[in-house]
Amino acid sequence: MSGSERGIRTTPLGAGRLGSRRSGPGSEPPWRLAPVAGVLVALALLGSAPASAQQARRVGLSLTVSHASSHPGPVDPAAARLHESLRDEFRYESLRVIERRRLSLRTGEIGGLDLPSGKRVRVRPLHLGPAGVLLAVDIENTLHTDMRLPDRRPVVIGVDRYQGGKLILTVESELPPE
Amino acid sequence: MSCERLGPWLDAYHDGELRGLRQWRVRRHLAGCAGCSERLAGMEPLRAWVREAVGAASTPDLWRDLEQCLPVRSSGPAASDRRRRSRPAFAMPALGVAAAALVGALLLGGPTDWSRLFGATPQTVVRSLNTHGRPVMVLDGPTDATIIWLMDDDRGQAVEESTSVWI
Repeated sequence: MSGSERGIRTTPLGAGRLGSRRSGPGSEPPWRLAPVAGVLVALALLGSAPASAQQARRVGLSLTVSHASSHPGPVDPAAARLHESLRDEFRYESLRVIERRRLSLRTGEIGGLDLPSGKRVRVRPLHLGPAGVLLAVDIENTLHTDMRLPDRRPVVIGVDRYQGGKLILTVESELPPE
Repeated sequence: MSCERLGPWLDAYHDGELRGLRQWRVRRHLAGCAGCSERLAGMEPLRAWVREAVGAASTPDLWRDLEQCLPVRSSGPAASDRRRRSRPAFAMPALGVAAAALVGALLLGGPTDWSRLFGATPQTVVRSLNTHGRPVMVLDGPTDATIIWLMDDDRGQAVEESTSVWI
């Protein structure tokens, strides 16, 4: 038995260094790599924990389709907030809500609805962070946008002309508690 | 845009500091609001007064007095230049270490709202936009809403020139 082999038995750490110098990496005993593997596993777990937690969280999305028209008529009480947003910017005589849909999606999941014009609207949460949800919105052959939606802050999209007016899509998020 | 919302922007518009969409919105409002147009017109005498006052301040006599108070610049190489050239060699590594420490602290600090760190406000809602060639307006609505308004191809120019946009 050589001196270095004796060293392996008496002082494992020092012997490890000697052993690795003397022999190639292929002959490294597996238990020597255990601490390194442990650290790597711990780092991987730490890294994946927030991601999996984020995937488990669902974001609430409210999609509302409204129609603003130049024909005289009432303003739908359900569209009061939208009216507040638009009345200083655009001219119209009537406003009504056509459809309202609530979705609950995980990041990566796709939801959507069909506009009365026949176009498909698809939404997909891409990332959920403290500043809100990063949301991809796709309106068939019309618009593709990525937006960061803070909690309960609506985005109003004037889409297409429809029946003497304009179809309006409102997207609003409801973020889950941290 | 209402008169209250226009208020803070009127001065900037008057001074020619607004550009693009903001300028267009103020102009659009002014075209239909006599009160705000009157306020804008009322700013002109003030501007003339300031122009006069500033012009009077820069008389040669006053400059001569000021010049005498300023330190005399030496005719040789500027001292600041020499200082710049002989900056200690350890300055750059120190900066590097400081930058590395900052990055490390940020990375180890856990999840961070990077948008806040780098000055992006919650106002920056829209990150990317593809309208397949259609003209579009992005507005901050009077409430907390962001408005993305796709315009019809044939009406884009008319909208830009109108005083109020029909839906």
